[in-house]
Formats: sequence, structure tokens, C-alpha cells
Amino acid sequence: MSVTTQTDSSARAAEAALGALGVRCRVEARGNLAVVIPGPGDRSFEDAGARRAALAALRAQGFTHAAVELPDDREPATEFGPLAG
Amino acid sequence: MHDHQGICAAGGRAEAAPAPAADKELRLAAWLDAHGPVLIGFSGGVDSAYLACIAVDRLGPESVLAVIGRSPSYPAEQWETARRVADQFGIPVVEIDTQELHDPNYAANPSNRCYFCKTELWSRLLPLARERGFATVLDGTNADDLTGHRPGAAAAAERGVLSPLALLGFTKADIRERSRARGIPTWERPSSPCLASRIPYGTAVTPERLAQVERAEQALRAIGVRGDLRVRHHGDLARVELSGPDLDRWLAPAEARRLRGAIRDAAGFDRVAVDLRGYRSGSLNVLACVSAA
Repeated sequence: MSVTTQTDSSARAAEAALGALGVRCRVEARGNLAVVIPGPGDRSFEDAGARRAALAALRAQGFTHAAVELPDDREPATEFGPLAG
Repeated sequence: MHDHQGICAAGGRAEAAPAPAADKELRLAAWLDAHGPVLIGFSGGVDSAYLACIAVDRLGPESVLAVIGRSPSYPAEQWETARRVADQFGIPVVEIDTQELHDPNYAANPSNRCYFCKTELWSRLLPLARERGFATVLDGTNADDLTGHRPGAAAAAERGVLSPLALLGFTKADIRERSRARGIPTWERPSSPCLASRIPYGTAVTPERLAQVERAEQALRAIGVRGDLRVRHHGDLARVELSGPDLDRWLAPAEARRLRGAIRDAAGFDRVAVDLRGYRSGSLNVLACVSAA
């Protein structure tokens, strides 16, 4: 499996894991760092419990670090499809 | 149950209680008496500030020289603190420029980057010590620093630089406690490693990247971020590590907008992300698999 394919599959698996927690997002895999890009209006990560659950889910996918991207208000919001599962 | 010497007996096996910090300070004073005059690598951080203050108090300013090594990796805020502490406590200070960025071994930013940085530092301080008649060269390494990934300590040991705080068992908590007791203002400052610690291993350390993370952190302090703070450089993305208790505040929409805007305007990062776990010492060691998660 190429590095790019492995990275993509890690990111998709992470998105599915977070989706199971009710978090609508995209995940960008940068090595051991997962950059979580929340869906429009998603405020899950303001809650400490939700952050802990998300971290555990991402760690289970092999990431050692996770960060939630802060939206750029100057750009149009990214459209997300329905949550998986 | 404790006997009169403070030894705790548990299950029939005696275990020594750790010495109080004040006792360690008495031993430090005696140690300095035996090793002075001393030249100290002085960054203005919690440890070297405490060591320099004790040394001047014990040996007198004529027997102590604190040397600040300046380079683009040395935060301006820490330099200001170093000068302030030196002025307040009468610590003689000399500043020298260090050139670690000109060493390709350092600039490549391997996981033992600190070894090359400290090699450069001590290669400049040791001749200065000889020239000025200082018998012993010291650094502020403490006992807690002896665990974890610390390649800089190897460079110090190779050159005969001594670490009395580590030698005498001073923990970071001891140093903060004794600093507070002596009115040294660094007692409650967050830890403050060099700016290169914000750049992931394998990504070159450049003056531009160092300045970028420094401006980002300064901007966050200006909008009210307190406690431990690191802005880690991931190319187009700044990953912000905050103190755990601050995450709730800075992830709320209004504050998140302020935080993102501050970094974008000051440092030019296109993207800003907040680390979900918060500040972690040695975070980039874990990211690079140099240390366990």
C-alpha cells in the first residue's frame, strides 16, 4: 500500500470513528498528526468530554496527536455529506 | 510511621523521605563554595535564574559570571526576563552571539538537534571561562531533566560542564519553591525552551520559521493567552498547544476567531488548529516517535 493510500485510509477511518461519536468532520492525516476539520456549525470540541472521546478514537487509529482546525470566517464553509453509519 | 530522622517505615522496609528543598539549597551553597568561581550558562529560565541568584548570594558578584547566548532561537521575551532578573539580583552578565543556525547539523533539525546547539554554546562559553579565570562552568539542568530525551545534556557532559541542580536532586518543583521563597520572579513562569522546539524534526530550522512561531506566540500572549503555550510549525498550519484548562475558553467560537486572527495577522499562517490534548512537554518528540506517547 503506498504511503498516500495508507494516509487516505487512515484519514477515512478516523472520520468514521469520529462520526460514530456524532462529530461531523473531515480528517487530514499529516503523519502521526490528525487535523480535524469540523463541519459547519459543529461545536463538539468545545466540550472537554467530547475532546477526550475524540482523542481516544483518533489514538485507536494510530494518531499520536490531534488538532481541531479553527474555521476561517473569510472563506465559504466546507460542505459535508451525511454522517456515516 | 516515621522515626526521628524522617525515615518512613512501611512493611518493615525503611525508605528515605525526599529532602526538603531548603535542605538541598544548603547543600547547593556548600557545593558552590567548593567549586567557585563559576560561569553559568544563563537563559533567564526558571532553573538558570535560580542557580545564578544563589551563586551571587553565596559567592558574591565578583565570583560569578552569567552568560547569555543570543541567537534567533532565543525568545526575546526570555531575554527581557533574564536581564530583569540580573538587574534585580546584581548578577554580572555578558552576552555572546551563538551561531548554531550556521551549523548544517543543527539546521537540518534532527532529533538530537540540541546536542549541536549546546555544542556551539559551550564551545563559546568554555574559552570565555578560561579567559576570565572562572574555574567551573555550570548549567541549570535539574533532576527532572535527567529523564526523557535530552541530547543537549550529552554535549554539556562531554565538555565538563557541571549541573549542580541535577547533581543535588533539585526537582523543578524544588526550584520553583525556593525561587518563590527568595522572591525570584521566575518562580511561576512557564517552562521556556528555545524556539526551535516548535519546529518538527526533519523540517529545517530557519530564522524565518523561528520568527514566525515567536510572532505567533507573542500575538497570543497579547490577546490574553496565559500559562503554557506553544505554536508548533507545520508548514502552512500552526498547531497551538494551550494549557488544558484554557481549551474550553479558546475553542468557544468568539475566542477561537480572535485566536485564529491573531496568529494569521502576526505570523502569516494560512491555517490554525488547536491541539485537542493541550500543551505537552516533548510533544514533537512523540510526534517523531523519539519518545513514547
